[in-house]
Amino acid sequence: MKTPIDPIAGIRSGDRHTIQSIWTDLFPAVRKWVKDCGGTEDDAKDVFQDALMVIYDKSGSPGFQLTSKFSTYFLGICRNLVGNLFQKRYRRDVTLSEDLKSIAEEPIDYVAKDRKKLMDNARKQLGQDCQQVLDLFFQGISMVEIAAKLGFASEGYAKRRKHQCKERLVDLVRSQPGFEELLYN
Amino acid sequence: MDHKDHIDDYIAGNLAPDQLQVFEEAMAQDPELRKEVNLQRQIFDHFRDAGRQRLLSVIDEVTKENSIGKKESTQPPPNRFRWLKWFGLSVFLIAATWFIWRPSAVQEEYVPSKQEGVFPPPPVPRETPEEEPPAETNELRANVEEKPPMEEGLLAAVDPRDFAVNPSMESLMTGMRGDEVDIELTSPTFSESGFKSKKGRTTISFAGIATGLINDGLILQIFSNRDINRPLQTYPIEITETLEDKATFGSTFQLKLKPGLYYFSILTASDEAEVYIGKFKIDQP
Repeated sequence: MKTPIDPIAGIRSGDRHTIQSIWTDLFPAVRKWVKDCGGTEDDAKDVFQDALMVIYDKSGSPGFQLTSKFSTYFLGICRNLVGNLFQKRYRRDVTLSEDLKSIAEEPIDYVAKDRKKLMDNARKQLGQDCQQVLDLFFQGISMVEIAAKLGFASEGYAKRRKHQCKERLVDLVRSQPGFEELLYN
Repeated sequence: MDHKDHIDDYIAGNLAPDQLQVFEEAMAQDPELRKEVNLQRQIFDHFRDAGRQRLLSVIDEVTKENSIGKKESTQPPPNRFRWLKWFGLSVFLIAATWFIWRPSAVQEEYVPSKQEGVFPPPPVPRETPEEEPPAETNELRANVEEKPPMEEGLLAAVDPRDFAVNPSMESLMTGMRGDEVDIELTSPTFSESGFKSKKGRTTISFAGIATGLINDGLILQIFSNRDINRPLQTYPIEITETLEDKATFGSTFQLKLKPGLYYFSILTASDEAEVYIGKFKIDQP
């Protein structure tokens, strides 16, 4: 296996090398399952992507701990996704038309768009190092790892830096025009 | 304690149960704290979403890079149909070759030593039918033509993929359990020998006992072994008798299906919930 030692951290940080390694090592198995079920190459890619997103979300939950080999865990998720995909597809057109109906009926959330823009602006005004600290922190990476990745002297310093950066970010968010309407309503 | 120091842990779900209780009580009493938690939660969500977007774009790039040169994309696995295409082409070529060379083949059969002392006539080209071949030639041709034509034998060959099991449906069959309705099917029972068809029609009864709520009957859907997304045929199944929560059902259909393996699904008519998945086989005539 060429997969790095900690692929979960690689997924959390969107590390390209990690994703490429997972693709090389594990995608052929996913493709085989999907094709055995009558699916296409694109179906296999969707399953691969969804599995990574599942891991991204799960690994951000408190108490998440990988208890098996990464490949076993990843392929287990893929197997479930393949089963769900074909079960859903088997349930025919109803699913598709209902999905489309819900999309068609879904209103465009302009408030959410403006809120996102406000957050992006505040984030951009942070210094580069603060952005790095907060990116890692919000990805759920531990303070020890953040200290190691960013070359900080200690976990304690990483904590203090994170605290300062977050205070700064909150202040920047508060200073954006329209903040009260968008975030306190 | 300063509750603001615990906002991160609260949002990330890292507070111990006793700390959580204290924090939630504080939030209930302090509207400013509630506002702060709300703001920081939105910031947290935004960064988490940004992380998801970043990961998605990396996956997309990796997927695209690794797909360069592979043009399979949205098409089903190509070798499935390539085989059929070549098979069809081969059959056509064999049939065409036989058809074109048939007259000369007959004449060559005419030559052998049975014709003692008779010099065989020159081959008659197909384009000159006015020259009648000798009577023996006609007899021989009749004999040849009475034999089953070569291409018929080939064309009648059945595609083995029509009998292949579909892993997806097989897994659904084993895991199928109705939530409210339980089906005990008495017919059809799957047999490797399969059903026999007469004049292209196969008579099959779908019958059994349903336990649970059957308000307005059952529906039968039949699928080919290759396309489990679209039913080939849909029929209502008649409820013959109801006693408390049990109902017997049964309907017989004359199905116009070619030989092959088929899957069927029984659904409740009221909400189209699948309650049974099975299969049957139709043999070659």
